[in-house]
Amino acid sequence: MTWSTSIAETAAPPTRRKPRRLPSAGNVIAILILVVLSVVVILPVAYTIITALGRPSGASYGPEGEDLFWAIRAAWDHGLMPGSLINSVVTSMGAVVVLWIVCSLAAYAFTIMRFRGREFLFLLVLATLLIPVQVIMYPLFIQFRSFGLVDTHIGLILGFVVFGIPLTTFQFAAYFKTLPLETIDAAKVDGASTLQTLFRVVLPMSKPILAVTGIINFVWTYNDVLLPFLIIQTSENKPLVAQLAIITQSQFFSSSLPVLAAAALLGFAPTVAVYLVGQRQIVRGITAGAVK
Amino acid sequence: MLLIMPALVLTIVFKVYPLIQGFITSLHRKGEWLGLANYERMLSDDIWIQSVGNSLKGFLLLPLFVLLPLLVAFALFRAIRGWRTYRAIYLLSYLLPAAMAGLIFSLMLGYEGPINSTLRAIGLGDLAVAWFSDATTAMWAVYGLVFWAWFGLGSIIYLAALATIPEDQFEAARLDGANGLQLFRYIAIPGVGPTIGYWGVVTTAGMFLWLFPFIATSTRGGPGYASTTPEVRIYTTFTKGLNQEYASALGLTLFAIVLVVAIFQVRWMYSHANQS
Repeated sequence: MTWSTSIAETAAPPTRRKPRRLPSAGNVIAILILVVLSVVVILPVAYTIITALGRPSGASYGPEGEDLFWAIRAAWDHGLMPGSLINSVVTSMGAVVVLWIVCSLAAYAFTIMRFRGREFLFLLVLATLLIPVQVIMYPLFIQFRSFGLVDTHIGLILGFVVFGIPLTTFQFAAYFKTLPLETIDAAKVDGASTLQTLFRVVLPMSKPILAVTGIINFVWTYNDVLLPFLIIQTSENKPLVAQLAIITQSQFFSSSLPVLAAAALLGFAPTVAVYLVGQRQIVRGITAGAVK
Repeated sequence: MLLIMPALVLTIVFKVYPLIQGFITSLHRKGEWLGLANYERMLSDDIWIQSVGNSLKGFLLLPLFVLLPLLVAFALFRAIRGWRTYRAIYLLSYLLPAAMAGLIFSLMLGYEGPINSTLRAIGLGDLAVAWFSDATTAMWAVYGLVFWAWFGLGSIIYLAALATIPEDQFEAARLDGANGLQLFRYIAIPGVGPTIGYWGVVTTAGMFLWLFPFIATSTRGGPGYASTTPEVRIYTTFTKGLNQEYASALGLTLFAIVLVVAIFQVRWMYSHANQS
């Protein structure tokens, strides 16, 4: 089964038209499990919201009068908002765009073109998935330092790109395999250069995979803390999640439950926004490659 | 050929070269050749051994991590009209940044947190401990948090896989009188076999590589080293500027461990991209 058909099936509900009938015992148990698990998933989130809007209980810091959003405002200020969020958006979007370019070029060469060593180089790029940040932390830091990339957004974007290349190249390659070769060949016969073919013929046919890789890469780079910890040193340059992960360890935060909860909420909100925009693409993205 | 240069150059400069450099570094101490001494040192490094042990605790839980989401997905798939709603709910736990999940759970599992209040209210006050700061429970509490964070993602992936099983297989089995459990055992599990393998590999690798953000905002590896995993140990060795040569040796050892797992993943990806 090709990758594109599995996408179609993911996006569409399973086609089952069951006649209405009384739920069996099995169904009742199944529904019960799901309701319980849904509560388990939602409860921590709900608890966070309620706590963030709550009164300070024996905290060293608190508002005057009835102000629901005092904790959120405190977390906002100490989280260096909106600067941190801007850092996040700049680095995550930067990584998304660079990964689109770098990986679609590579995947195009690996799947559509023919050249010596193609198989070997493709395998090499995929195989570097085996090298996670933790394994090369120290030499990687040295490398970033020698290029003058430490504590820069360019450096962080580059870090995200390096670690995103194997999976994103794979996703593009798997998608390009499903494209009709005749169309691409026709463009070549018409005298289009390789780059023209890629940008005018192949990429316009690749909107689904651009959406999938875009959202997946946005989510993981936004959520990541290890690379930001490693590469970004000043708090002015830290992206939001890394910022919050660090400042919540300070006395100010740990002494006040509502402010801690508000901080968590602040870090969560942008992903919820992305989720509302692209729920279907997210589902496609995380199931692509997992389903044969 | 030119088209692969950006990907190739970045990979070589920032991954392959540092890996080789890290290996060379790990054989030295302050510029002096040490041979494998840094690796031998690991064998008597109690903290490192404890951290590997903490990862092995996670391995005991892997069957749950791999199979429970399948059970949930199956229940979702069989029984429910509004499965999209449930899917939307499960997506939440995937999107919540791991570091923020750690934060939220450290609130919920605090000594005076809502979990313990509930336990006390139903007369199980004896069980109420400070989950993340008690040496006996810290690591297990982290795995509980990780399970919470991952099972939604697993369910969604399995759900997509279940949707590819032809409905008439279920129908035929049902006509033969199979009950829900039998459908699960004899149709669903074989039907999603490759996906079980995929999710198994992902969660196994994740046990070694993706726990850092959860731990960074919940237990921070403590109390003592009770919830320190190898990656956390490498990170703290690195940031405390202790012994970079030794940290490199630790990193490469983790690499060797992960390699065994991840080779399956890469092999699978390569064949998947080359077929069809």
